[in-house]
Amino acid sequence: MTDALSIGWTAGQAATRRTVYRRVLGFALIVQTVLALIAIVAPIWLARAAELPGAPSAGWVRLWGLMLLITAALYLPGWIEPVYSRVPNVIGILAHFVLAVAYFGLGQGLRWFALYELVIAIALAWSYGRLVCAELMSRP
Amino acid sequence: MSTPATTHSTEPGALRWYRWLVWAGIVSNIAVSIVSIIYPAEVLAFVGVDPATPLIWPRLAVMLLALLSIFYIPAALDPCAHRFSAIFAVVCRFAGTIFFAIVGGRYIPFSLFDFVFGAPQAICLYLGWQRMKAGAGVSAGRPVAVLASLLAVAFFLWSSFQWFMAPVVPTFASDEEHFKYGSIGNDGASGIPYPLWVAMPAVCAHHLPRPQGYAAFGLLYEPGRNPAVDSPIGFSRAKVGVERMSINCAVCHTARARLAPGAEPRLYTGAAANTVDIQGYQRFLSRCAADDRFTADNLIPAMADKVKLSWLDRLVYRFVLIPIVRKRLLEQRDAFAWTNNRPTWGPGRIDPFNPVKFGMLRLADDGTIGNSDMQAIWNLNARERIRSPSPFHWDGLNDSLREVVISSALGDGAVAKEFSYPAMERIERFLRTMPAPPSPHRPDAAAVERGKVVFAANCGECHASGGKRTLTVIPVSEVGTDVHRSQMWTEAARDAYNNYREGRDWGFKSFHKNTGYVAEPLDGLWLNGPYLHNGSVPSLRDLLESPPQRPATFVRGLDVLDGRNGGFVAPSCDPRQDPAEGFCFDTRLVGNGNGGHVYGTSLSATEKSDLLAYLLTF
Repeated sequence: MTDALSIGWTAGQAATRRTVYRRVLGFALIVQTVLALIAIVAPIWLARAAELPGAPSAGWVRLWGLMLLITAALYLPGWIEPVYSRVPNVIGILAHFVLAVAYFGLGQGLRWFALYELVIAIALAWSYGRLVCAELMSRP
Repeated sequence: MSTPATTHSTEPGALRWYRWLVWAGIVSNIAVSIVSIIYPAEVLAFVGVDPATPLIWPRLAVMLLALLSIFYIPAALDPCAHRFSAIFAVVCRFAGTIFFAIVGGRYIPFSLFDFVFGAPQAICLYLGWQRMKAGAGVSAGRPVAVLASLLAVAFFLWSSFQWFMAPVVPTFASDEEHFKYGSIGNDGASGIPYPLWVAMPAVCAHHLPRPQGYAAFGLLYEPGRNPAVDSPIGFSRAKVGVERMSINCAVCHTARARLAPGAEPRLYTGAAANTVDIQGYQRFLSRCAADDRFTADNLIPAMADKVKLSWLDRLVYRFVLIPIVRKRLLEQRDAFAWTNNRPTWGPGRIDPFNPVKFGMLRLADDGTIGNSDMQAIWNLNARERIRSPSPFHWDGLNDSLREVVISSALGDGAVAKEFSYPAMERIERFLRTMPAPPSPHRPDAAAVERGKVVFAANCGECHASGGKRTLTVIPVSEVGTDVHRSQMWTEAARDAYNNYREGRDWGFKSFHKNTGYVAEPLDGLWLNGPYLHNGSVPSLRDLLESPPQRPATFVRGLDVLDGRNGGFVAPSCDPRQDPAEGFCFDTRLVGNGNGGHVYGTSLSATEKSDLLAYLLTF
């Protein structure tokens, strides 16, 4: 096996893992954006349908939606260039873990969100770890 | 891998400023988040936004704020290396700015908070990148930056004004207090600055019917309240720029009664107001505004007697608020000029819809007279159990309680930008379950039992809770009572209200036109006098007499109950002379007719007496 072939294989691996990570992150961002938009447009409906804690409060659910939307927007550089923009990705993965804990602590319908955040956080951490390793291995 | 596109030592000054601003934004966000997570209720109260229940929602919001702040770090480290992060950092600040500006009101400080960081960041980022493109040391993009800065300052000033003028309404723990003193969304549109409001009776005392301040118009004060400075029932005191006094539903729906002249009066929330002369109050305000004494020189000392005024307050009142209030009150006088050609309402009466028709709905004066007695609004759930949907107002012009509550608030001056559905829903919930107070009268038990039989035979069909015509509209041709209130509500008014879209789509669809009056259930009858829709018959005993035998004139607005005849004590009077107390009501005037409703008038004297005994128990 030549060096060129070896480097080509590792670069290919890195590209594959980059695609996997971007797909996972893309899915997470789409879900987050849709949830945020629902929270902004139909806060009372969401609060009732998702059994969010407390009396339905349109203003605060909307604010939650806005925060989710902004977070998704700030995460975008990490999706556009996952290797080069490492900071948003690392912060984003940690943020999903933090949200999972927070949602779980807040209880009621938010526990389903906690479960989702936990699954996404693990998937992102796993796929991003593999991507970073593969990227490092692809460098001569 | 990440390599900075520019080293900090060679970066343009604008980019350095951008980085510092982003760091300042991150630190500010996190500081606000930490304080808000620990003291959420205190922060909400400090900013003046609606309290959140439960507090986990503001806590969650600020936790997300802290998390998203960390996403700004790449932009703060190197905006050239992390171009997308730098752009998104600015975009997200503007998203916050726009979101909170749209929400408006007390949330505008949040908009300004984001804007204070977002606008300079955008300008610095633009300038920095322009200069990097043009070469270090070259001034590029300055005109755009100057224009952006001017726009930013303009936006800041506009938002600050919006925030200053956003209503800060008082909140009440109990639904009853909310009903009596809460805002219905008319404070900014029709409220009178509080210091001016308390000063007007002193400056314009000669326009008061009696030297009692606003109590001269029958406004009700709870025990322990000082009529010179405290709010009467039916007035909200909310801050829209300055504190303002404006009416709410309770002004027309709270009564005062006592069992004997020397007895302590009691207040009854939800009852038809019996003492309040809303037209007299309104005319007093207009007359005072038109008076030569309505000047800053007279008003400011009278205001300072009752309220602490700073030099700035005095300046603002002298040059801004007093002239504006005067102008508005005179406009109101002109808008109500049509009432000068109709009979005076008097205490406990109102023309509730013509002001709406000729004002809010912009219909032409059609010459109709809608003067009618104020109505009790308790037991509304029970009302809907009798008949659903249940007709509301004397002629049953709407059968949706939601629409009735909202349209009543609009009629009292509420406007879209101040209107709060939750506040209205709270009033509706309160009215649905508030019971009518039990009668204090104790007539002879045997007579009551006999009267029950007479009632079932002669009145029950329309007034018993299970009566087959109870809460239906009885045609005027059948009931025979004064037709004017029914004629007042026209097809044009119905259509105009159902199509009313001022400020928002209010969703009205249940206004309709009837040609009669609703047969009302009799709960709280003891507190509902005078009787009939226009309050033209002073007592239940008089109502059982044929119309020619009923009093042609009597005094309205007294609060002493008549335990023998039902209703309130109402001595006869001469309309040419003002009585010492109350208002002389003349049934011979148009719209005040006391004819019709002859049911029970042909009963024998014994039957009438028994029936009256039974009616006194309601």
